[in-house]
Amino acid sequence: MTRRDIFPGMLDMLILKTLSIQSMHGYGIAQHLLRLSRDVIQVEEGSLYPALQRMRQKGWIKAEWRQTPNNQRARYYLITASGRHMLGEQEDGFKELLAAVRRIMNPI
Amino acid sequence: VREWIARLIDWLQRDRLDHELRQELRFHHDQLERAAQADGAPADDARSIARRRLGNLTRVHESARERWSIPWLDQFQQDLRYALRGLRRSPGFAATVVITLGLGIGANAVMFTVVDRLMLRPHAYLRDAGRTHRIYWQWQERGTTTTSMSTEYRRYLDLGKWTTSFSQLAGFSERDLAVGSGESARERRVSVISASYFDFFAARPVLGRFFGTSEDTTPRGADVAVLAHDFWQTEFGGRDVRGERLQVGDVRATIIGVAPPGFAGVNDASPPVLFLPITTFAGSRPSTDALTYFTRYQWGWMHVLVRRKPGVTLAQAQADASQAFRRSWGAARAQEPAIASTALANPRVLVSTLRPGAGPDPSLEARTAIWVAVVASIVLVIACSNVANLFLARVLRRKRETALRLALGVSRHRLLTQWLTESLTLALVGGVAALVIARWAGAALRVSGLEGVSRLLITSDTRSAPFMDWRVPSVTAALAIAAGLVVGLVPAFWSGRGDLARTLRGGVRGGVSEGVRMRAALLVVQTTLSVVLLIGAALFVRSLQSVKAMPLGYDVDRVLLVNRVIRGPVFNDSTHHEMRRILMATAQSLPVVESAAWASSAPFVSTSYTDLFVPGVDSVARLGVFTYQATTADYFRTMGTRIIRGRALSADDRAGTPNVAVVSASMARVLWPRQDALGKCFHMRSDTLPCTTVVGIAEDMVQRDIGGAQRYHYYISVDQSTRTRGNWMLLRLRTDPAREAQNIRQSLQRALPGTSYVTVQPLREVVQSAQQSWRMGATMFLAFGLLALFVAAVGLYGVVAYSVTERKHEWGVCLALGAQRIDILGLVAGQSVRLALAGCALGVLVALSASRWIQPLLFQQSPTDPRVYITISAVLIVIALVAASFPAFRAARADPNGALKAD
Repeated sequence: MTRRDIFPGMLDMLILKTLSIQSMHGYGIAQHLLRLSRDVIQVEEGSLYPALQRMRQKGWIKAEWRQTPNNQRARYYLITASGRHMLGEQEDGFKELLAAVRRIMNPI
Repeated sequence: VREWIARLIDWLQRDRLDHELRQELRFHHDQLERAAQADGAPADDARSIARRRLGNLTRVHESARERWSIPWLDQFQQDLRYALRGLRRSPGFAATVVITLGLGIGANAVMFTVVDRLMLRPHAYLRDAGRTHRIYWQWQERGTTTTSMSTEYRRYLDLGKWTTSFSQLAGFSERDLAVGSGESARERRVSVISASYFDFFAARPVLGRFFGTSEDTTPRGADVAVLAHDFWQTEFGGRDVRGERLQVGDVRATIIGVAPPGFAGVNDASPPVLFLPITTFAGSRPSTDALTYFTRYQWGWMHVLVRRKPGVTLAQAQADASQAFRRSWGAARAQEPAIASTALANPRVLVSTLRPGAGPDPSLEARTAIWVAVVASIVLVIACSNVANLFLARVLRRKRETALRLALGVSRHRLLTQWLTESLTLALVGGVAALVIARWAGAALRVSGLEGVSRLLITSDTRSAPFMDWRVPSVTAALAIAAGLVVGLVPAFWSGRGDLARTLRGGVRGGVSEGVRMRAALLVVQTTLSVVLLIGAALFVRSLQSVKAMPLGYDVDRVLLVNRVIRGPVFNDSTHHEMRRILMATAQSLPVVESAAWASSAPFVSTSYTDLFVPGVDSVARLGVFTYQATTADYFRTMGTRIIRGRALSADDRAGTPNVAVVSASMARVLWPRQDALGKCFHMRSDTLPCTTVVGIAEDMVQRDIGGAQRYHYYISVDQSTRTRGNWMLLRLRTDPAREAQNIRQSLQRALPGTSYVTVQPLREVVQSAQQSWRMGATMFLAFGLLALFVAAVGLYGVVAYSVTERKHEWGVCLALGAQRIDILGLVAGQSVRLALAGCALGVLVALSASRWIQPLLFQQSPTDPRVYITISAVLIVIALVAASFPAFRAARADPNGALKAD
């Protein structure tokens, strides 16, 4: 499978979506995206961690240290109420964009 | 914004965040490694796979931590450390700057507090301040426009009835009434207010309730009172006082509630102790006013507060209120045909600011305060230019260091921010010093007897005014920052120029003359401003001297005023006479009392006024205001007023005998020019009433307005007056009235029957408070003028001392070449005198051109008095010489040997 870059801005939406299902640590988020996209979307750690810090400062997500099931300390990220709101907005925007692109690509 | 705050918070804990990120990435790395092992890779391979996957760990770390690094903040921290280090190395410089700026900013903090109190500060609890106004009444009288806040209750009713622009109206007045009974009774400030007054504020009673419209009704409202919070705490210990009775003036009021802390209505300068319904107060007056105040236009004693309806502009409201006033004027004229016609009087209403100090007719005190505030800002300019000078010297001293740093590639921008950090740090410390100084100044002013000003300062930090306390500190901080920027930028811009290479080559003595011109210019500016301030101060001091020296027409120092406050059942004339007789007899039996008299009022307290008709004079009113006082026989002896011709009033001028009067010399002159006033007659109130014959002419007496030019005043016998009963007793004492005042009060109080009450006050105090504005002007101008002089002298000394040190080598060479020490002395002193002369010349010019505006604040003092200008210039030049003499002697002592050996 070829790996593809994602659009700028889309990473935030994907992270928020992931966290809206379950709070996770950075590694977990990367694995989750890789698995669900069937290895198409691989997030660079160099983008993932700055993105997480940015979103934390914007108040969309919170971070806290917890024990993993394997009893290791890891920083977990949780989505906040304003994060959920943001996710909704981004999803709507994304759907609109997708529909528009479709209409252009398949003009019937 | 939120994100930036989060960033700032992260920046503060950046070390912890760094550490956490490192842990997080290690965890990530461990997971990758474990996953690789799970896929079957051997341990070593797994580690390298993980490392490959994670890429450059440092790079990941760096890009994530960018989220909490704020470079300019880091840099600022660095600059701050650098500045503090630099200042610790030169504590003398730091202290001079902090003190100079502290004094300059402190002067402004003091004046801001005063001006804020007088005209800016919003009232505590006031709702919707933008649409709330005070009503100012304006009309033409004898060719001049009169503006007044006071009006009649009837007029207030008219305004409510005949306007549509206002959603709320309230009437109110501040009175000093005897509160309490027996020995504990004291004169206290009481607000008498309409029930609607409370609706203007978002205040809720902390206990009980406020009074409502059903308790505020004509002819007389309910006997209820609402206590102010402070009074409740101090006098009642904060207990449940509902239902308790309290004697307030003539009213035995039931306490129904307590106002919240800090609630003083619109009078926060002298907060009231309680609130009484306005109709209760008016309806309980022991005079006919109690019956007529809501129907007749006779007693102008209250102020009006209004709130504009939403959507009504100020101009519309003003037009609406003015038409109501015109209509009301007509109604008043129907009652009293003697008043001017509506067309002639042209009555108008100004719907304006709540604080009278900022209103259309500000007091002399408020206008003086504005002037002094301007003076304070000039002091700050002087302080800033002085400090800029010091900074410039500092920058020059570091010139080689700076050049070296520039040569090494430090950007000029970076240097600039470093200097600014230094100056701002010092300025902010100066701001803190300013607040301390301002606080201390409040206490000092109280000691100096400027009660009016100090009250304005002191009340700002009592607990009765917990509101808006951020105002003074924030203004102080703003001033400090502005000052810091100015003093930092001036030298920075200057030193930004110049040729690097030359400076570096120049050696220790390179570029001596640089900056001298700039520093001299700053010095001339300082001197100029100091001269202006000192001239102002001298003018005010001389005016205060004239005010004090002005003949008042009576002895200020010997007279004690006694005010009889009648309470209880309304007295008839015979009980009045009886009480007057008892008090008079008691007073005369006291050994310290030389003589005693009754009068309807006292100077500066109030005067009476009525229409006069003089045969042969068309319109007396056009000549001016003629005021009178009803007195008893010994009045002139008691006051120490000379009778120039004729006789004084005597005990034989009683009811039933022909009406007689004593007139002031000015009044005699204006009514009967070039004639003998004795034996002439005039009619009071109406020309059909019996005539009053002039039997004596007294020297002019200042009755109500020190600055006023007209002294038209006359005296009639209390017993022949139908209107006034004489509530003031004047006692001439053999000793200092201030010392005996309380003893006399107690003796008189014991003799009084019932719940009535006397208050005493030395006449001197009354007169002094009338001189308040000149006293304030003189004190503040003088204080700030001396402050400016001091700062300028320090600045001069600094500049001369610096240039002497810089040219030390030169002096040595001069001496070696045969110059006399006296020549060097003259050279250095001459430099500073030249600067001082330039400053004096400029200062005199500026003061002359500003003199026009200060004229109205002065008293019998020309603002262009040459003596003042010459004296001040001479003082300044002497100061300049003294300031220059220390460094000059140092220069003259220069060692020629040392100078020659140095190179």
